[in-house]
Amino acid sequence: MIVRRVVVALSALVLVGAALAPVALADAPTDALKAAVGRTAAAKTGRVAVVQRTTVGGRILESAASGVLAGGDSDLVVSGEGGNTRRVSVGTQVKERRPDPAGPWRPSTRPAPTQATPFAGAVLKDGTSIGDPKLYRSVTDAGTETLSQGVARKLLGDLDMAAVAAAMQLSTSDVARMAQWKATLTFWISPDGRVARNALAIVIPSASGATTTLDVSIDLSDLDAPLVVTLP
Amino acid sequence: MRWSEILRAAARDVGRRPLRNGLAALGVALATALLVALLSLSAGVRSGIAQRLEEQPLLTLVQVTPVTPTAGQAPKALDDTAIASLRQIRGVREVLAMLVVPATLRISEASPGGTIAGLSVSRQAPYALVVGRALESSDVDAVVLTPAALRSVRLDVHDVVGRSVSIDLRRSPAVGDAGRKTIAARVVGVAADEIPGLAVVPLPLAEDALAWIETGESDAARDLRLAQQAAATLLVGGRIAAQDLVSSRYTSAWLLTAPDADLRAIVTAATAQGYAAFSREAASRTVEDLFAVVNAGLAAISLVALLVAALGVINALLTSVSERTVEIGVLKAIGASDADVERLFLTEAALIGIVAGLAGALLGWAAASAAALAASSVVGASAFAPRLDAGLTSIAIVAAIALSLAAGWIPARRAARLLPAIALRAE
Repeated sequence: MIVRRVVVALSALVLVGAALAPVALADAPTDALKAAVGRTAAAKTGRVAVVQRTTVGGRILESAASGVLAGGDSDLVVSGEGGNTRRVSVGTQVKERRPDPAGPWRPSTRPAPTQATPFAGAVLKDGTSIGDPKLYRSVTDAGTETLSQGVARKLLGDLDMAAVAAAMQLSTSDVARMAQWKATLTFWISPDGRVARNALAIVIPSASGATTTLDVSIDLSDLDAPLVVTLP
Repeated sequence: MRWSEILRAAARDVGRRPLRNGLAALGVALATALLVALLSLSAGVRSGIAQRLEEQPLLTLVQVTPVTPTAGQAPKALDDTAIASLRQIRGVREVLAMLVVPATLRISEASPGGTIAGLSVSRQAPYALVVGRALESSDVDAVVLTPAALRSVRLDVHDVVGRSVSIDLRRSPAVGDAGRKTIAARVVGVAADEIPGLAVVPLPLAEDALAWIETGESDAARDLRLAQQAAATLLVGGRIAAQDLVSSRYTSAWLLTAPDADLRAIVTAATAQGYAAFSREAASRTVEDLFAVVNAGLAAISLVALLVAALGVINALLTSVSERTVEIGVLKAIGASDADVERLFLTEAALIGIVAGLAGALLGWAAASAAALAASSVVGASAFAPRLDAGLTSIAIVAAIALSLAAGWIPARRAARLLPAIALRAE
C-alpha cells in the first residue's frame, strides 16, 4: 500500500514537473527573447516606426522613418536633416518623393527582394539569430511597460560587441574597434510573444574622451495584419 | 553484286594503277593537310589567348559603376545592398567594392598626386603582382603601388616593398576647414596591371579617408558607420530602414567572374539592376570575331585546294573509266547492273578519299607542329602550340571523303551509262 502511494506521488511529481518545465524555460529571459525574435521574424507584414538619434561631439542628429512593410515591399516616410522623403518600393519598382513628400514622384528601380518576409529572418550575416544568447553578456528582466500595443515585458540585453562584430563578419580591425563599445539592446515583448519594440543604444568611446552615442528604436505593430503596399 | 565484292574489286582496281591513283590521293591529302594545319594552328593560338585571359582576373572582371542620373530619375546608390544583389548574378564569383579617394602619395623624394583606390579584400587578388604580395584582410595601413605610381616615384621595383609611404589628404574648402591629414602606410607589393590610381589600399582606410575629407574626423566617421551598420543588423526591422538611414556608397564594384562565365550576360544583368557595367569581354569578343573571320578565310583557301584536288580525282577516275570500258562491258554482260558499276567507281573514289583524309590529317598535324616549333623558336611563345581535336580531325577526313565521292560521281555515272554492246566493241 505504502509502495503504491509512493509510486503515485512520484508519478504526480514527474507529471507536474514535465508540465511546468516549458513554462519555466520560456519564462527565462534568454529563451523568451529567442522565441520572441523567432516569432517576429516570421511575420509577413507589419508597421514600423524608427527613430534614430546620433550624438557626435555634442551635436545631435535625428532622423525617423515610419510606414508599412509587406513581404519585400515597403512604403516608408523618412524625415531627417536632409528633409522628408516618401519612398514606395514594390517588387523592383521604386517611387520616391524627395525632398518634399508631397512633390512629384521620381521612379527608379531596385534589385528584386530576395525574401518574402520584411524582417529578413532577423539574423546576422553569419546566420546567427538576433535572439541568440551568444551575442549577449547577459539578458535580464526589467519588468513590464505599457506601450500603445499593450502591456509588454521588457528585457535588457547587454551585448557582447566582439561577438556581434564577429557574427557580422567584419574585418579584424573593425571587430577590435567594436569590442571597445558598450551596447544595450532592449526588447519589449507583447502578450502574443512577439517583439513590440526594440531599441539599441551604443556608446562609442574615443581617445579624446568625447563619446559618440547612437540610439535607435523601432516600434513594430500590426504584425501579420492584411497590409498591402501599392505603387502610387 | 554484294558490297563485299564491290569493295574487293574497288581496292584491287585502285591498287592496279598506283601512280595515277596515288597522285590523285596525294592532291586530296595535301589539301586536307592544309585545312588541318591552318585550322589547328588557329585553334591553338585562340586557345592560348583564352588561357591568358583566364589567368588575368582583370581581363575577365566586370566593372560596375552607378549610372549618371537622368532628369526625373533618382541616382541609384552602389551600396552594401547593391553589392549583395550583384553577388547573386549567375557566374559572379566575388564582388569587390571600390572607393576612389583623391590623395597625394609621398614616397622617397617623390610626391605624385592623384587618387588611391580602396578595394575590399578577395580570396584571390584581381590583379597580378610584379613583386611583394596583395592586400590581406588583416592589413590596416598597407598599400600596393600601381605601375603609374612606380613610374612617378622612379624607384627600382625591387627596392619599393617595405618602404614607408605617406598618404596626404586635403579637405575640400567647401567643408570649411582647409585642413590636411597624413596617413602613414607601408608598401607591401607592386601591381603588374594598370589599375586606376596610384595605389590600392584597404577599403576601411579609403572609407576613413573619404569620411575625413567630406565630414570630419575619420575615426568617428568610421565608428558611426559601423554603429549604424550594427543597428541595421541587430534590430528587428532595422534592415528595411537601413537603406534610408545608413549610407555607404562606393565608387564602383568589381565583379570577379567564374572561368566559364558568360561575361556579356553578367554585363546585361548588372545593367538590368540599374548600373553601368563594362567588361573587357568586348576585347575578347573582338578576338573571337577576328578568329571567326580568319578561320573562314583559311577554310576558303583550303576549299580551293580541295577543289583543285577534286579535279585530280575526276581526271584519274575518268581515265580509269576510259581504260576499263571493255571490263565494264564484261561486268554488265555477266549480270552487273548500272547501280553496281556506279557503286564500284564511287567506292574507288571513297577509298582514295579515306586514305587521303587520314594521310592529310597526319601530314597537317605534323606540318602545324613544325610551324609552331619554328614560330616558338623565333618569338619564344608557347601560345602557338597547335590544337588538333577529334572534331577537327573528323571534319577534315569527312571533307576529304565527301569531296572524293563528289568528284567520283561524274566518272561513276559515265561508267554506269555505258551500254554493254558498245562497251565490248570499244577494244
